Amino acid sequence: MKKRNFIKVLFSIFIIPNFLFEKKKVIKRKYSKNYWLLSKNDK
Amino acid sequence: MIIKDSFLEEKYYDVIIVGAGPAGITLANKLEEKKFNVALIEAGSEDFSADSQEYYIGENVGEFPQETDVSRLRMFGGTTGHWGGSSRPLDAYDFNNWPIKKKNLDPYVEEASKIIEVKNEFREVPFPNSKNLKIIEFQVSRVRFGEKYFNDMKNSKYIDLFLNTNLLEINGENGKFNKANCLMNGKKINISAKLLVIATGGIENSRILLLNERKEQKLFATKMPIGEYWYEHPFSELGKAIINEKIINSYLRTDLNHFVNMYHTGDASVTYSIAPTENFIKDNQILNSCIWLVLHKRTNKGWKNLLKDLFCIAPELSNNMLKLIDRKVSCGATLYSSWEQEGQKNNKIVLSDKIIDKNGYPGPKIIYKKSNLVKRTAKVCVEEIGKYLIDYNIGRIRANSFLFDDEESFISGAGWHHMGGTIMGDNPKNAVVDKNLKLFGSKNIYVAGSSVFPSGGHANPTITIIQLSLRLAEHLSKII
Repeated sequence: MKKRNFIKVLFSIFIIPNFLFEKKKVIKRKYSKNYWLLSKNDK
Repeated sequence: MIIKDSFLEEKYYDVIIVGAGPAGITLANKLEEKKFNVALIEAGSEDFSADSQEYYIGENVGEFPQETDVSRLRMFGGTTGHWGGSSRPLDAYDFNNWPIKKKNLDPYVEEASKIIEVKNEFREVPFPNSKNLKIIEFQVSRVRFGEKYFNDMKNSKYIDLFLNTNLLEINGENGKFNKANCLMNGKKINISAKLLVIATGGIENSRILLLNERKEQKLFATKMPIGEYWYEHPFSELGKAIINEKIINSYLRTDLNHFVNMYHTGDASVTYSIAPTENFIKDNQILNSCIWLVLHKRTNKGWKNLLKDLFCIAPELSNNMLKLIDRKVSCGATLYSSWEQEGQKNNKIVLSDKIIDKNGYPGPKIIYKKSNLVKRTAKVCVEEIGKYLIDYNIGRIRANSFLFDDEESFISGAGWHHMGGTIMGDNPKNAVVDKNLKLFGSKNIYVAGSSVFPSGGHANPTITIIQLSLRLAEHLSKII
């Protein structure tokens, strides 16, 4: 299997379960002057 | 042929077109096909010059970010002499306040695409697993109208091209134009025709009508909103991001199959951008928009500053992203946007009392301010893309402060797309031209170009200008 195809398969495996989860809320966190758009689970 | 010095004033044309930009040249060429005699009047010469550009100096009041003598070209070919070439017709929902609909312009998109030498492919597909975002396709034209059509004009049997010829006054009576009083190389001449079309660009169209309104010749209806509902396409960087490039390139498999090209904007003939869907626009009551996600090359180390900032508020995430960058999985990116500005009565072109051009006429004064809706549109779209990246864990955005700090003034650039001022509509109380682009109250004066757009979506206006000129040519051919 070519490397590129392998990556595609690999990512599709990891991404599919994401669809099952409730979408995460975006939180804004200001640092310095700008705002990061983060998940509340981002540590 | 090109008219340089001598000119037989007794010659009577079918149509005078004032302005040799994409609107005027397209119209002249189509009328030539039907063997109508056309006088195409261009104030500039074959090429641009500092001397000619001086006529375009204007006054800015408010937030308009450009100089009026820099953002447009006074020459044969008009502003296509320095345009970027990005082309896409307007979306169907951009026509909500137009008296015509997208279906009325669709028959001309194939020919308009041929004129600017691009494929008639302006596809769109949903952003994978998103109801709110879509990927849209732009064709990139390399055509400069001046270079493409100058020799055709020289050899034309039916088009007389008047270079260095300024329209001074429109003359006539009882709503009927009969001759154009012009200044050709310092000499006053009169050019007569059955019809007059003003196609001098998104600022000059308003200025010419305002100047002639002062003459009180009753050539068109009074109390029309000439110069009003003038707008641009705000353009700005909205933020930066760390993006999982591998996933973007492999996961976002679409029918377009070239999502990767979205950031290959240099010599590409096609580019892609992200846009909100019609439902998302309606649900959030925002304007139309498009956002370019420009992935950085590996040599660009801008991501270092991003991750250093992120480290202070989410060190674990920052470390994980750093590893992905080291493994060449992720990279930095910048989000740019060009989006819609709604037409507002108070955003307008009036005649300046400070700037007088070399012919002794007032220059344009642009009064311009962006509404809160413009800023909110950019904010809502960035939040939606940020949410998408979080949901699928393929990146994080650092949005620019002006989007969220209410007290911060919002200073954006603009697309150099001058629109509105002589907008199309159903009646002269709130519009200047009717659906056939005829001036309300006039029997034979028409306006062509982006000044007639009641709204301009986010797409670059040139292909829509050409579609409208092709439609106007068809209409005029029936009535001459």
